[in-house]
Amino acid sequence: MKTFKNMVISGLVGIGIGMIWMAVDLVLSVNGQSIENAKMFVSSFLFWLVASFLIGVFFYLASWIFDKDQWSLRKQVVVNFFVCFAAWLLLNLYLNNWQFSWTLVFSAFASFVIMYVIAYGLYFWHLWKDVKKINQRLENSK
Amino acid sequence: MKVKFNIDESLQEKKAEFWLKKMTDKISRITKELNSKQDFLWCFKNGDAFPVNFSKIALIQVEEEKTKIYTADNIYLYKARLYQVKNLLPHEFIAVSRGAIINYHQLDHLQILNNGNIDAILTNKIRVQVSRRRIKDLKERLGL
Repeated sequence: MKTFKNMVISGLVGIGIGMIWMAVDLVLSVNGQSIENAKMFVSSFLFWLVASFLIGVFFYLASWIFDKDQWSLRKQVVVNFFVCFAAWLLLNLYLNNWQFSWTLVFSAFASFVIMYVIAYGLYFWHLWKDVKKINQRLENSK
Repeated sequence: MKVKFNIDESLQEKKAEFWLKKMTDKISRITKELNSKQDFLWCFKNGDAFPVNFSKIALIQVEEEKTKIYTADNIYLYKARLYQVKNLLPHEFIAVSRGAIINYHQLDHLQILNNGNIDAILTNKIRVQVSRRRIKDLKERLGL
């Protein structure tokens, strides 16, 4: 039950990041014109809403790699990065009707790095804050 | 939660009663502890058995498939698996990874290492790696 709850939370975080991503993309698409000219299809919005949720869930499942305590953080991050990137590349290939191009790979890589840095940057920042809070509590209770 | 004690020296049998909206993990732990009669573990060292009080135990860890019990000045062997000993422990013990359980009253501080791993430093200077996923549990147990 706890795993399911965490999976849903991760999916909702995915929607959060995905919608910010979509808003930025939409704003950039107007090429300096008035933002009121920005348009998108409802079907496209719904597709990315569901996709963002699934990406969030996938990130959660892939984060189980971080449970391998005997691995160093570097190894965990490298394995996790490439597992997630492989899935992201497949999604991009699917959206491109399975037409391979190096431009697609580079653009998928660039967008993935930004997404990864945001998601795990936030995670490690939270973790660092939690450790700080715990140490503060332990210090106060001495 | 309101806590009320009725102290009566003539009482025949001690009892505790809870009024709850729902059962929580915390209440389950407290209930288990209230019902537990044992406050020590039978541990082994050089073939001899010793009763080691829970409050003396700093760390219980699996090493080379053996369950080791660390106190401030001794290391004992416990003849059961970690999940079995886990069921006997009072609430001050918390699993910090799949292979280690610490007594959080004996936790001095946490340290983030250069490689990104997190170590718990116990008051007797023993170090034990903490799984990042367990940080949340530790935080909850410390009331944060």
